[in-house]
Amino acid sequence: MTRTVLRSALVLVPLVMLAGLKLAGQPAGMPSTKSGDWTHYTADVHGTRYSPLDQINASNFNQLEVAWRFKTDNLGTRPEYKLEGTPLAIHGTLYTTAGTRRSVIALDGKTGELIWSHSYREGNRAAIAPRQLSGRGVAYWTDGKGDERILYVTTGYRLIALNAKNGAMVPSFGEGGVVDLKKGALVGKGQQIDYEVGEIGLHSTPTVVKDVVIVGSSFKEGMTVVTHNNTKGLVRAFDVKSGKLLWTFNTIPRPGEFGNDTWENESWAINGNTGVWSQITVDEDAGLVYLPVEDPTSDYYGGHRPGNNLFGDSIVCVDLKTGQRKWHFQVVHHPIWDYDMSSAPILLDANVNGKLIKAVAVPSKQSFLYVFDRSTGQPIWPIEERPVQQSDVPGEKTSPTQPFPTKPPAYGRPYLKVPDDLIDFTPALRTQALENLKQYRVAGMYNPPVVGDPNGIRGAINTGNASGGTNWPGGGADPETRTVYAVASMGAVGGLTLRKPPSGFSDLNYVSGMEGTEFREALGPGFGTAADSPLAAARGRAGAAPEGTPAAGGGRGGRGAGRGAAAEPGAAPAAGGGRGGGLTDGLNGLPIIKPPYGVLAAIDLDKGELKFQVPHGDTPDAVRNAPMLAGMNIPKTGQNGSVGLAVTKSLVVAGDPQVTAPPGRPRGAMLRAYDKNNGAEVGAVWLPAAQSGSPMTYMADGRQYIVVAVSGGVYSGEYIAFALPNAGRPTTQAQR
Amino acid sequence: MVLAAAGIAGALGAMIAAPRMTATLSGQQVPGFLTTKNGEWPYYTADVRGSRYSPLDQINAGNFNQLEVAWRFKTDNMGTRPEFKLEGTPLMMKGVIYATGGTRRSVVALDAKTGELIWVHAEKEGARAVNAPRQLSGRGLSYWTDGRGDDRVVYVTTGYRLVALNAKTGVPVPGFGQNGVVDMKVGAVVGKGQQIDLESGEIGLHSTPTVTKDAIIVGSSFREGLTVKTHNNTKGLVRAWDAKTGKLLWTFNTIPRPGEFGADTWEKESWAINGNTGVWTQITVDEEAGLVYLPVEDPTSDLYGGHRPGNNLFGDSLVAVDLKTGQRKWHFQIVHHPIWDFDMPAAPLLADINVNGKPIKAVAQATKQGLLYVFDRITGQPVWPIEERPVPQTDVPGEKTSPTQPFPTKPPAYSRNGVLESDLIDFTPELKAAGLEAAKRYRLGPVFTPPLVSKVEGPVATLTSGTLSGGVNWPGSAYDPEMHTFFSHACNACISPLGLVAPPKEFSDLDYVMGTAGQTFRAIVGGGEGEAADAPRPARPATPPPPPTPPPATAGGRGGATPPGGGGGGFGATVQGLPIVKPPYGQIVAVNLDRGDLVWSTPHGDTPDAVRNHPALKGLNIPKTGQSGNVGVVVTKTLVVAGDPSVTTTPEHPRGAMLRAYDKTNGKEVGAVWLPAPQSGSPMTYSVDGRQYIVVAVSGGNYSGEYIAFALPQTSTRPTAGQ
Repeated sequence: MTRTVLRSALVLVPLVMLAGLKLAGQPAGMPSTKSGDWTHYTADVHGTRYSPLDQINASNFNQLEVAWRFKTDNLGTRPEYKLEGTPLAIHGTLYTTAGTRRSVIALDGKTGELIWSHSYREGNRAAIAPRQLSGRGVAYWTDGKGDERILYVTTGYRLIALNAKNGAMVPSFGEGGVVDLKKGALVGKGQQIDYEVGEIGLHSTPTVVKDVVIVGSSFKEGMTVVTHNNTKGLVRAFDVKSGKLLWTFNTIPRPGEFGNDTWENESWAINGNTGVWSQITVDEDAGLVYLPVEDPTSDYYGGHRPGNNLFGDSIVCVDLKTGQRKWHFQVVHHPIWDYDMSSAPILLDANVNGKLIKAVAVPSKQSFLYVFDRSTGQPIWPIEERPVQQSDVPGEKTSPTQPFPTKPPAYGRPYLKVPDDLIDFTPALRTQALENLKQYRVAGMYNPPVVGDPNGIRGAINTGNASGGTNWPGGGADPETRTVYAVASMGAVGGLTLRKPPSGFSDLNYVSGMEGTEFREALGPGFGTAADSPLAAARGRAGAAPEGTPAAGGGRGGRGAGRGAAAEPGAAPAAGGGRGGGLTDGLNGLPIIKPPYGVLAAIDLDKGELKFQVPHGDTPDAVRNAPMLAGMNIPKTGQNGSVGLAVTKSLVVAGDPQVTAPPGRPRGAMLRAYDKNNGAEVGAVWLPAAQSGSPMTYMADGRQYIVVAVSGGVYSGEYIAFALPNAGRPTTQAQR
Repeated sequence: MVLAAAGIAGALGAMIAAPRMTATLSGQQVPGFLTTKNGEWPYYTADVRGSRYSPLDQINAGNFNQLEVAWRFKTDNMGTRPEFKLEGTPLMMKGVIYATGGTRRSVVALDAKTGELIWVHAEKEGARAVNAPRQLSGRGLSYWTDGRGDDRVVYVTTGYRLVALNAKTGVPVPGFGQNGVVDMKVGAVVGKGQQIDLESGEIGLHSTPTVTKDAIIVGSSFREGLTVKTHNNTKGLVRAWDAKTGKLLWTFNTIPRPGEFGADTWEKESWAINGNTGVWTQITVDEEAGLVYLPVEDPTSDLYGGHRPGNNLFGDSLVAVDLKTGQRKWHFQIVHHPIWDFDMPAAPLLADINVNGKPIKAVAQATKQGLLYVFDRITGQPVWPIEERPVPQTDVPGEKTSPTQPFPTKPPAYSRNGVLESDLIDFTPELKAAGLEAAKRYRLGPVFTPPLVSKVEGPVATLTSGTLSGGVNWPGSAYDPEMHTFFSHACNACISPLGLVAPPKEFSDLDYVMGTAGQTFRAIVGGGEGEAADAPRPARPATPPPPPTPPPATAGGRGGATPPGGGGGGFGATVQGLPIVKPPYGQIVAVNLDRGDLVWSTPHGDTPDAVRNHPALKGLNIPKTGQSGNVGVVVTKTLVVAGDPSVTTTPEHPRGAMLRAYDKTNGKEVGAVWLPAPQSGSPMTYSVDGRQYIVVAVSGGNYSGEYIAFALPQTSTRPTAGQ
């Protein structure tokens, strides 16, 4: 098959080059958000998701109309219901991924007209890939002299460079436009993984800076893994012109490398994961790269890897030229909470006590913003090691302390405060919630998982583990006011439990689950739904919880947070999950926590203080329509679910993570605009489904657009572009 | 400029290369004869003979009702805005669907099993497309292969360029024309031979090129001819190009030049000051005999011929030309001195029949006027006598009609082609009286009753049936080579009032154009006009819009016409909102070509809401009326399949249309599945990996263009809607 690939690429490319010559000359030069482009998944390589555009503002946001829409159903063999991309906008053309085959498309930014489409057929390699469906998008590179390229990572973990003008693969990049990223991915002490079945993939976009493209790594869901000796995470940089490997950073240090001693008993050799599945950002002036590293194997049990396990759950700064570690900070020692580093590190220059500080600020599933001097790695405000609850799971050894930032304060709910955070619509509900909690261990933050006993302790109460707090959509920032923005899910409360895996399933002593119940493998919702996958129906959908309300916005590209008031997958039935036997027993379908269920928060990076924190999203139907709450005045609760945002000159824009059907509008979600100074909602437009990919904005021919990906439930993936009405602009109405 | 080329990679190459077996099978056929026998659909009309026939039979009377949507492809993002008039019939070759779609007439390749987009191509033509007479996505495209891996897709752009694409990649073929493009405006002439302007010169085409082993044959089309600005319009022509290189092989002048056969039928040298006479519908070929069949349209203008005395060959003729040279072999003029907009609307059907024990290689030409003209396709001799009979003569100043017109003695008419008092509505005595009263404003008469000069006091027009939109229109008909039977949908109530007025001087150099006395003159434009991808978005219209057309406009017209009074929708003249003529309003017909008999005829389409819910008809038992409009059919081993031309809301189904299957032996409806909008492009069928599919284009009203593929449920691993 590989030969076929090469041959078709070789045949294709020269012809396409000819075709490309006929294109109208595009404006050359280096695009930037300053000129109305959106050049990176995160707007810029600093991770800000900030654009200085202001044609769309508080005074007119409500007048936004759909300028165009692009349904992604025919990219791949069947529609996708989890479209997570954020397009790039370069000189008026949009580039993004979409569909069950992760096709790449170029669209006219003014009309949504499809300009070209590319896809790569990978057969079984994609069908069994750990990170399926369309991913988050693409990266763009130009030499400023007419060579423009789109780079993306396929479902099967290939890095592909395309000619931005026509979608043809760039023959001089790798082999016919392709670098096989599986080459060099290792297991154990250094054994090359199998090219077809070896487990590694990526949802996030490559990071392109100067002439370098940096790519992270990701794996299957880590809650019920079949082996602790999984593929090892790594980050690599390639020459963007040739695809030549420039450097590799081992996120699990090898003997002799810094941090190897944090894997006691040589456990580095028998553990994997520790990938970088979120967006990587770069200080191109300082030549420093910021890597947000995830958990080692497995998410909730670390008994096979004693020690702190660097660089698990760390922010690591490496040299752009060499990949050498400059500094690191481990945010979770010996990670067993699935806290990962979920978000793109945001590079922002702050003014702290009159001193200019080049900072890096990292939103997190824990809902803390971790802020460092990005040159030195020194915390801007002290981060204290504080004692935490210790594990009683056989073989597990937790870190006696964990780092707690003293500033800024948590912008979401890092743990469940009992009783203050519990539902209190009525005294009876509060009493019931307290009663339910008696079956759980409540022990503040970093409460380690317990062996689940349906008749005893049913779980260790935590928040935000799988889905945040802030998950893969990350936050954003305004470089002018030095403010960081993030949506935090507040309702992801769960009881973490472990069980012995069924015989023959895994070499781990413990996996997620509850003893005495039927074992269910935890799979991401996208798993098995890639274009060429044997259909999900055939697998009986084991482990993938039935989709209720849209999964949009939830999970780290897989896990289904955002369902209702959110269960923590892999955890015991959780707040609002209402599946019985647990936290929501007797609560009539209401979450165990009190509102808000989700917030948009602003953090002043000069002061290290919360600027505002407002509920985001309409009150869920289940709450608004709850018979037992009839007659009560419940202020807007916001919604559980981690969604991304875009920041403009005056606004923060984000869509609802769930659909609702309140009086006055049809069932759907709203794309909302907040005054970025005070969090006041200044406008909202209707979306037919939940926001499932983070919004972006750009300018084309003097008109500002906002594009957002929506999907979930029965609504298949669609990019929708909004703009202000054009005076005299004809309608898209049907003609006679 | 090439807007799009596309990357496909990976196993796709293998996917295209893999059906070597298929290629070999085809190779056993006569070279160039792409065939439906292996489940493919290689031509717009299934084969180069125009049959719209496929021998597949997995989908049949026993299971048609179980059909499910296998995939669907919405064309909204092909072009700058959605299209609401999607008329294409896709091809299916080697597991890949090829089709045009959208306001820029993009070409797409789709996986035939899933509808997955493989590549997309479009040409950005700017003003040339904006000015084009035939806009929007057209009818489709053509396929060419050398049988050795050089596979191409060929189509005509909105701006009248012939483009050849690599079927595997969608990239223009460098060795064809100039980097894949032949500018067909070069050589299109006006007057005595003046090259038209390459940007603003009027010529275009909706239909697909006809591809044979060595040649690509392309016709020509123009703006709607009811209210033209000049009789000296671009002249129609048909050309053949070398399939491999795009080199011009021959040109056939549909308006003969001095010295050419037929020039004398343009009296007073009127050949020099008239145009049109294009070939806008599908051309078919007898590859064995080396003959090409050209269905020629009206000369300028559709309803007034005062500037072109004479019979005006080859207007409204069927012309057979030599495949190698383009030389005329024979012709038959079906309408002399054409002034009814009858054109030749449909692909000539090549039919090997057996009449009175004698095998005849025939060609059957369906018409708007409800008459089927059948000839020996080698000699041009009518299979059954065609008689010249006297017809009503014109009283329009300057016009001189032919004293006679040709009437086939067999087969009988398959649809209403005139309006007599006996045709008028008669549901109730009151309605009958109202119908007669309404008819007083018009001149009634049989087929070939000429248009008249509109008078305020009456008559305002000649009331005609089928003139503008058929009968049979551009979707054409089908021929079953096993049953030797012609199948077609035919409009039976496409009523058009044909009135003439003197146009404002600044508007036209014609003495008369279409219009109604006492009403403000307005130009009649085609349905897609001004709606191409780059057309300035109208703060339209400068000319006031035609009166509201009864829904849907989609299936009406000949892919462009929005005839006054809504001939396309059919209810050109109404009585209390009801059609002025009796049902059936539209039907599917079967004509046996061995015997020249009408075998069956059945109303097609649900009774329109306006009829079913009409207060004056309450309590009456109105049998299914069928619907006015023009839709195409596909014929399979056992079925005739066609969708409704209009949407209805009935107790049986939500607002929508039905795709219906008829037992082809008796016309009995044996199944129907729901469509969200009317059929706007003719259905086709194919089989891939043992599964038969039916694909149909739907659009109209506020429903934008979509291809929908149906197949039978797969028992085991069928995709589910959600994940």
